[in-house]
Amino acid sequence: MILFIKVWRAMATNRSGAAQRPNGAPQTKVCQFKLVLLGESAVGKSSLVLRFVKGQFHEYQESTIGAAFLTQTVCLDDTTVKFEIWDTAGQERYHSLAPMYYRGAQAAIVVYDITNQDTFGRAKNWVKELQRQASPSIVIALAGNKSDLAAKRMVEFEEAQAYADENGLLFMETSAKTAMNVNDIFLAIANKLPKSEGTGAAAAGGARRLGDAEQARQGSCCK
Amino acid sequence: MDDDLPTDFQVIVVGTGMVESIVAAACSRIGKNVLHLDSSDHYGGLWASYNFDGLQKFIKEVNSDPKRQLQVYNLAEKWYIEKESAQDEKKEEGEEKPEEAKPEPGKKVWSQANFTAEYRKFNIDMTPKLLFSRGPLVELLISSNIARYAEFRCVTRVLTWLSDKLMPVPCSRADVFATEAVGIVEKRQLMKMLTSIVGYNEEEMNNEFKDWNDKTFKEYLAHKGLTPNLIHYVLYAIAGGTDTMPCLEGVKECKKFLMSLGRYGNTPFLWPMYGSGELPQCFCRLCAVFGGVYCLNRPIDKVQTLTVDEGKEVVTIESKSKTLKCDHLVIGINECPKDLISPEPAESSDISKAVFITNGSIMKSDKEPLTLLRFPPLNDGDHSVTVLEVGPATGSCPKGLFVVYFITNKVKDAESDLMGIAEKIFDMSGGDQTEETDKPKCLWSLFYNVKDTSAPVKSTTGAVHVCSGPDAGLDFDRAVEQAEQIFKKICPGEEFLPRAPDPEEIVFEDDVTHGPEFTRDQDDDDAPKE
Repeated sequence: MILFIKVWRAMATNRSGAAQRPNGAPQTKVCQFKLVLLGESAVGKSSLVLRFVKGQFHEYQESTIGAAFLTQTVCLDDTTVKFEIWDTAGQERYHSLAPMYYRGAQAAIVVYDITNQDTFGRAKNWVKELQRQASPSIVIALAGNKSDLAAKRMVEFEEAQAYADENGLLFMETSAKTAMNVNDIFLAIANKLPKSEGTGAAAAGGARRLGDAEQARQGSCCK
Repeated sequence: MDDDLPTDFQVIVVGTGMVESIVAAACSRIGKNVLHLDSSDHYGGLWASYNFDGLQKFIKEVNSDPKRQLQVYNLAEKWYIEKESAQDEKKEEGEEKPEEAKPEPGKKVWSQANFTAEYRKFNIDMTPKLLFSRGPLVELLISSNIARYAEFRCVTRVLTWLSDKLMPVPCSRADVFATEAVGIVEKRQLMKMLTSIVGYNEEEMNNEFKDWNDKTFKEYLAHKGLTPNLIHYVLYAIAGGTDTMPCLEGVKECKKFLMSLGRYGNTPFLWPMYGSGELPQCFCRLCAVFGGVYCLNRPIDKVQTLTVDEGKEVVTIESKSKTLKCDHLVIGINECPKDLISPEPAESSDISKAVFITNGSIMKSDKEPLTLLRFPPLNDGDHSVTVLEVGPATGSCPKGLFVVYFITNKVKDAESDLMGIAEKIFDMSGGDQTEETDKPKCLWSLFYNVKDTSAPVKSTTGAVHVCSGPDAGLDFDRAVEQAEQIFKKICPGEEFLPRAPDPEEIVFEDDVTHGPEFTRDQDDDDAPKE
């Protein structure tokens, strides 16, 4: 996979807060949230994000070099939700995911492959890990990916749904290949996230990212 | 489980301390094929931070393993509070309130059981360090774009110990003029002094200091006519020195302090959210993002170097009955087999450290403070002690508590070196936590010594690069400098951590044909439904 560099303009540090509109029209609230992906290798974590962010699917997706950090914006009625999406960058493979991965994450998608029972078992472990490591208020979604391969299904929809209900998780079966439910699962998460002032990535109030621009705070409009 | 671990790499890094992690990131970033291992189940080695449970395990492990005590020793943990609280209040753990919760009426009475129940809210650093706002690590984090993986808080104040009490140190021009601690004439003197130190160009520096090479900074400050009060501020608080600090070093330290003012906050310093132990992890993430393979819990048994054709060396590592091969091995000093180090590192003085958990700040403040205190030597010949106090807003501890770190060069042992100062700023007597006292109550303490392994170490072969352990200094500058040197040896001529692209810049090869636009109405959903 080849990466091209484009001139970068958008501030990556937009925080929750009202965007200014010069004409005094009603303001759109912009909330930024950190979303982490979890799940076994090869269940399609990166593919889900690529489908959501770029609208693409690669049959032979290699592990994502240099692209483990993407952003995408979802517009709700009165709020713009900007997802800052973190991919595991392969650190899950030998059980070496760093605690910093979970820091400040307000949402997580735990992915399994519906054609592989083991990945569902591992997904349950990831949910436990999140309950142990992440913020108690984190919104967790369970994604049964590769739903286009229903003929080879090993994990029943009802079984996963029952597990999700028991644990208070959002649940959908998705297909990064056909795009089924991909946008929907992100939208469902966006709807469930608390969007009051003082939530989002700025909840840490006063904690800051470092940047070229010393003034790292800036509003942004819904695109 | 990790049997499918590949075996051939260009670079293998062993240990996830600060220097090792920066080198791993730098090599991976420019396309080297990197494997990064650690023998323990967590990141950071001696640079790690622990939650309260992890810290208890660490103490137990070290105390029961004489081998570990070669690095960390004299661990003394002490509680000043009851096992169970008499109040027996059943507070739900994890009930997160937004930042500005209303001040609680009356002080909470903490028990050991409360600490255990809220263990996850603690992040206690083994190597707490600050960043200078314009120091090399901040510049590196920004230029490499690794900064996006971490968040920071500004240190809100710098304190000193003067006339037997804590005093704020005026940092900025505004501070200098606002402070009541120094008179108006002194203020002018101080401003003139500080402005000139920052303003000197190289020629002026050489002129001004040509006769001061073998004299102390204190002598210089006295020569400049500074009053004893001002000398105290500049020498101990700003330069972080002692009476014997050489003049030029003092000038350098002052300059570093002053140059970092005004970038992010009222002081020159930043503290990483959740502790210093996050920073090695940020570099590791970058390494992984660019293809680095991570495997914790992977001790190594044996390291050998072989010379293959044309003098080229190959390093082989035995690990869990697997043989790993690489062109370059980067290894933390504490993981490195002794026979690879040559010559033996010179004996250096070790480091004395302490951690305290208290029920209030060492000096009350309206907003939650984040404090650096450089405690001047109490007696002649003592070292100064660096004190860092961090609160709940940094993710270091639950609400109502503070974590305070002490760091100094070892003279006798950690407890004897540091207890005198602890007693000056804490109430170490235990007793009623609700009583109103000038000094915060110490609820828990840990004293320990660390072997100073921060001196650069040479290896017996050009294919093995040994990384130093943490030093007693305030910042990470030495680690950054060493990491860059090691990188340049492995990858001569290559750029050290060039900027990683932002999400918006990443365009995939076949980006030309865009996929369906995302809209709320899901009308793009032409997927076959089950």
